[in-house]
Amino acid sequence: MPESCIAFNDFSYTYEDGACALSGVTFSISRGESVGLIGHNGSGKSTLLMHTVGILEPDSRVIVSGLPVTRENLKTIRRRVGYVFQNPRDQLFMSTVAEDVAFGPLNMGMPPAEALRAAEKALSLVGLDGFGERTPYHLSGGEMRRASIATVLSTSPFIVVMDEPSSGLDPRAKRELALLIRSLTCTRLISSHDLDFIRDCTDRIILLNHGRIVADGPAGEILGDRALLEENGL
Amino acid sequence: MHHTHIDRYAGLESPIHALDSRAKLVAVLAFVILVVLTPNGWFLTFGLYALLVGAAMAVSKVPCGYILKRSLTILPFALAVSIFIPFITPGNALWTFHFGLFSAQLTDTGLVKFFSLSLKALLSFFATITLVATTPFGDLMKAAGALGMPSRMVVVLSFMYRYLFIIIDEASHMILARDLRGAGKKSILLASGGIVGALLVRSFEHAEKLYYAMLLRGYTGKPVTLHSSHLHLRDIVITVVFFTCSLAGLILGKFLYA
Repeated sequence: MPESCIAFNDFSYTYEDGACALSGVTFSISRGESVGLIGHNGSGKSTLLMHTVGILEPDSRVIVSGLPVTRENLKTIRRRVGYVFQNPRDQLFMSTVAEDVAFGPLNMGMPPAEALRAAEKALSLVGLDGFGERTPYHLSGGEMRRASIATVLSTSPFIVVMDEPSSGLDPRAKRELALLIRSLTCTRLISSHDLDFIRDCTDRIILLNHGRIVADGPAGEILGDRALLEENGL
Repeated sequence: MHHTHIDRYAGLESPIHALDSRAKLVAVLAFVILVVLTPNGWFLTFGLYALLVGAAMAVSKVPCGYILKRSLTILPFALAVSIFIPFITPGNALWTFHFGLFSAQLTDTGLVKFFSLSLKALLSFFATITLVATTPFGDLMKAAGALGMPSRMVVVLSFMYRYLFIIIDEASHMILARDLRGAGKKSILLASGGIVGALLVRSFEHAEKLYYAMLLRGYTGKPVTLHSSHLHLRDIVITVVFFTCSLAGLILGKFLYA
């Protein structure tokens, strides 16, 4: 396992309609770091996250888990990265929670009994013991979010990437989610524009504005700089 | 939001619920084929079929009212096909109608055919609805897959079922938003067009994200499942007994009517 888990080297991305989403983005994240990605709506947070798993277009200027994100490496990278979508409804698609959480391990070739154990372990990690047989669409917002995180934890990823995990959660669910993210030991990259939440669950912050990195440093330092935040639409 | 419409009674406990979904699907398919193959006018045979389905319905604990109500929603389609049969089948005229220049005859063979077709439709509905009501949709799809339905079709149907709830939710939110803004009769039509369009775009978006979510978790196109179901001797025995009783009805009819 290399020291640098995620690295972007002078990375730019323009959508087909000509909208420039990211420009000259350079940063690297070390193993075990918990990094928050903040920025106003449309600042390029989601685009950046999607490039870590090659959703939009694989690009070798992005290095994930020691491998450039190219078509050939996608399978390996996607095994190592757990990606949690913004809307849990996009993440939970099987008929029971257990099947959803076991979906990743089963696809990676784990035998059903072992996959079930991995699923139960992941569910217990997110505080959803005994939820296995429930149907995902009957869960509350907070439970759905935790279940969607369990779906990636069950594959024991090296890196967890989360897109706006706190959206739509009440304050208590948010605090619990922040604690859960804190308790993980893998490398974490979390996007949000909820500053209190990001303070609770990350140590380092990358601030994006119109596709450019305007600040990168310790969470306390950046979140304490009101002028900087206001200047960048937060 | 909670939607329990489709799987409302799938969680009950009864010998029918406990049957393996593959066995149930085979039994119902075979039963429907036998019902369809039974010649018109073999009412005793139909009576025996009704007893069999009735017994299954009673044992399943699914309220009869629910099964009847569900059948009523499909019955008009069957009636639309069979309603003219009494008038167009040749036979002994029971009654002749005159509408000016036109006349129509109600014939005895026509009536027998009409009642037989309606009974066949009803019996098939009862059997199918009992199957669907006592089997969770996911299990039904797994059974269909195990019995040779192409995996792509199983996946598409499963997702249709899974996302139906989300689409219903979104549609009801948009309808509420439309009504809360005081849409009048004319604007309701306009807004409904917009709602359908928005739903279409949203389902595309859901589908795209969902596909990525599956790919990112290693989906290769092969369906994976946590529970491998085992066919027990009991499942086979019950299916065979059910089929034999239905077949006995057909054979009895052959002695009585042929």
